[in-house]
Amino acid sequence: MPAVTTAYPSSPEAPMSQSTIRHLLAVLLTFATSTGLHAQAPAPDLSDPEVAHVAVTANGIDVELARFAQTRAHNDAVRQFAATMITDHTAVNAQAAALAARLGVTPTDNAVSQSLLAGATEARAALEPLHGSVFDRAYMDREVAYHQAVLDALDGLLIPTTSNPDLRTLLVDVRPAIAAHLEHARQIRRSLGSER
Amino acid sequence: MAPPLVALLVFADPSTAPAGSSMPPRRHVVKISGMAFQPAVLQVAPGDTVVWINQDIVPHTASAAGSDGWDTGILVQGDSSRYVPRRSGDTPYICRLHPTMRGGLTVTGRPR
Repeated sequence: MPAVTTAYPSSPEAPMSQSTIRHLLAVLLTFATSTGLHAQAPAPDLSDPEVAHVAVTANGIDVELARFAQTRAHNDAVRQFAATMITDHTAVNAQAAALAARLGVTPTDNAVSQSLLAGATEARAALEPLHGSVFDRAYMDREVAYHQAVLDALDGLLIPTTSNPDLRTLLVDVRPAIAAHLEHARQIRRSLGSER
Repeated sequence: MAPPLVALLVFADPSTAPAGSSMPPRRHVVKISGMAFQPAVLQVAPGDTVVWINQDIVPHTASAAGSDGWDTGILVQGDSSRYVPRRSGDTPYICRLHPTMRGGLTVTGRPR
């Protein structure tokens, strides 16, 4: 199994660079032999309980950062976006928990989840010193990159490797929400301009 | 040869009914599914009922843009809300929580 490395920037001046995005995708996709992109990599060996854990972790990370953003964001649209992230990702996790209970599955921690959590810690640290419009732009940069990475992970890793039909259906049902969040985040980010 | 009855039923357009006829109000359903309003654009007559049903995991609204001001409020999965338009006109609407979701309601024709 590949080493788990950080997926997010540590510099407030570069909250989510292209190289960071590529790095996050590489971490996720290295597990996805089903994509054929990393044929030389070890088999992903993600069980359904591990896929469930990744999904729950990814949702939880965005809820936590959105709670922080609500205390820090300056722009109304950014604050509303953060509120929507809390509502939506909480709803998804409630469905995931209900499904896991119904299936008798306990989500199992794994390297992908750990990588996501490590990245979330760094993302929070990078945003911590920022305020006002600088924070708004950095947070929305991060949300754009994060939802793109989650979308790619759904397509390249989570959905293809899930064998349980109910869990797969949940992931497929969640995908349009992630895509809509990504587009919404891009619109807000564009409206904020490029000044720092 | 006379057309089959089923064809007459399918293609009968209420808007072409003779003046003075009274058509009962109709009920139209807009599914909210896959982060989209389905159908995205709906044409109804004044007095018809429009029902939005949220089938998505995440909450949604159907909220008029502009001066009409109608709003379903927040609909969680399985919730529905109805609206009976009385005036003719075109009203674009969005989901307030997800503004990339857009729909349109056209109210036209004789009141029912």
